[in-house]
Order: sequence, then C-alpha cells, then structure tokens
Amino acid sequence: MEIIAVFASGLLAGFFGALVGLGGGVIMVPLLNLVFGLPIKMAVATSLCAVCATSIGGTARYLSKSLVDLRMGLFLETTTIIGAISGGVIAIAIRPQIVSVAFAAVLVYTSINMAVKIRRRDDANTGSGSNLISDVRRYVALGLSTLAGMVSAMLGVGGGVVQVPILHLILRYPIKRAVATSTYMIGITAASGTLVYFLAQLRGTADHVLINYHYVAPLIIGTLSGSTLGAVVAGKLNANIIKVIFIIALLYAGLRIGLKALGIAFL
Amino acid sequence: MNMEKSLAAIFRYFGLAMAVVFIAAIILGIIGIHSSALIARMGICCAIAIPVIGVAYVMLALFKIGETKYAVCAIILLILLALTVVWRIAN
Repeated sequence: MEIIAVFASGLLAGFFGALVGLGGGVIMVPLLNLVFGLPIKMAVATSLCAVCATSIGGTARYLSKSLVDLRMGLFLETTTIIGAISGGVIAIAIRPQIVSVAFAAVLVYTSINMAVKIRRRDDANTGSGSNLISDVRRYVALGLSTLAGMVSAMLGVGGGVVQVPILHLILRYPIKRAVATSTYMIGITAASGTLVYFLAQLRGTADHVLINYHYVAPLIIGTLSGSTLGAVVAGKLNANIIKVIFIIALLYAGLRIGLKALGIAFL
Repeated sequence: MNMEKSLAAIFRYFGLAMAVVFIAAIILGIIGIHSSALIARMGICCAIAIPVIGVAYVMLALFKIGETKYAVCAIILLILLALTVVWRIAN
C-alpha cells in the first residue's frame, strides 16, 4: 500500500514538474518529509533522483514536439553551474536569511510581473530560436543565469523556478518553449546533485543514509509516468493556463522561502 | 534523423530501460529478496547517466554540424559538472 502511495506522489509531482518546468521537488520534498516521515535531508536527496526522471520523461516528449532549445539550454546551464560553484563559496560569507528574503521578493515580483503580462501574445510555434535573440538579451540572460545558479546553491532551490522566468521574460521565449527548455536543463543540474549524494552514500562519507532505496523505485516510476503525461498535457493546454499554474507555483515558492527565512511555518 | 529526434529517442529508450530496472527492484523488494537495493542503485546510475549522455550526444552532434560555439559550451558544461562533483565530495 505504501508503494502505491509513493508511486501516486511521484505521479503528481512528475505531472506538475513537467507541466511548468520546475522539476517537481517543490511538491515531492514536503510530501516525503511530512506524509512519509523521511528526514528532510533524505527527502531532498531522494526527490533529486526523481527530478532526473521527471526531466528524462518530460524532455523526451518535448523534444519530439521540437519545443526544447538545446543550444540555449547548454549555453545558460554552463553559467548556471559556474554560479552554483561560486554561490557555494559566497554562502560562507553572507547570512542565508538575507539572501532568502531578497530571493523571495524577486520570485514574488516575477510572478506579479508575469501575471501583468499574461495577455501578451504567446504562440509556441513562432519565434525565439537561439539565432533570433538579440545579443543584449542573451548576455543579460547569461548574467542572470549565473546569479540564478549562485542563489540556487546558496538556498538549495531548484533551477526551474529561475530559468523559466529568464527564458520567458528576458529571452521572450513562448511559455511552452521556456518550460520545455527548463525541463531539459533541470535534469543536468539534478544529475550532478544526485551523483554527489549517491557517491557520498556509497563511500560511507555521509552521516546516514541519504537516498532511500525503498522509496526511490516507486517514486521514479511515478515521476517518469507523470512527467510524460505532464508534457503531453502541456502540449495540448492553452499557454495562458500554463502561465497561471506557473505563476501560482512561483508565488508559493516565493512565500515558502521568504516566510521560512523569517521563521514563520509554511507548508 | 535530426538532433532533437535522436536525443528524444535516447531519452525515451534509456528511460524505458531505467523504468524496467526500477520495476525489477520493486518486484524483488515485494518478494523480499535482499538484492532489490542493489538493483535500485543500478537504476539510480541510469537516472544520473541519461542527462549526461544527452549532453555528450548534443556536443558530438553540434561538432558534426559545425556549430562549434555551442559544442564548446557542452564540453565546458561536462568539465564543470565533473569539477563540481569532485569539489563537493572533497568538501
């Protein structure tokens, strides 16, 4: 019965993760922690494995619909990783609460900004190939991507929450293309994170077991199925509906990070 | 077949192989065979390897079609990923 419940959680997280390009960690971590009682570190490590599966299932579907911009994904991911490395170093010098509150404010502002521009024409079949974007926007996106990587490493939040707004608002990608490209990018980031946890566990350097082998199999089967389904639904849904779901997810993530930093309990 | 379609096929078929490994782990776990954890570890290796194989494939495909700038980005990304893993394990 427990296996079915974990599978269902994975299905739900994978579905929404691929639908809005966030990976699903924002759903999986609270579920594994609060419902299934896993310690928070174990919930994060186990959900990170499942985020790889969300990316694999979702990207396969989005690629067959030609929605993923592989070139821009690789371009931005390079600087995101550089930002993540430097963020890990800077995190030692800056108080994480200050960064959390500032980042939460940016997320809330971005969600409001997206809500205001929701009626802007957004056709997934037009424009925004890598070669059509102006150099200024490309370099602004590159700079912001580095900052995104930095903040992600400092606060432990997923990249999708930052990459989708960069692709959509700065590079003017249609929301479906932004979501698809972000789904591809989060798989690369999650794979490196999972490898770190996995090797630490195999080498016995971790204090305790990080990836729960009992839960990871049904969770990944669930996320793989859910993400494929999510990508199929995203292809059929109206772009504005995807935007609204993403805005709600962004607002939730912003409030969660901000209130947690201020010491206020929030699911 | 173009780069996107080939990469989609890689993700789809490797993803299916990964799913089979995890289903085997679940079945062995239900039966009560101890090696289910070992099979799950193999599945995690697949989950980690597929996105990295994807980047390596895109790098080769971009070199082949002469888009050197983005191919170099892919090489830098692979090197950075390796460095990040080494650095985080060392600390």
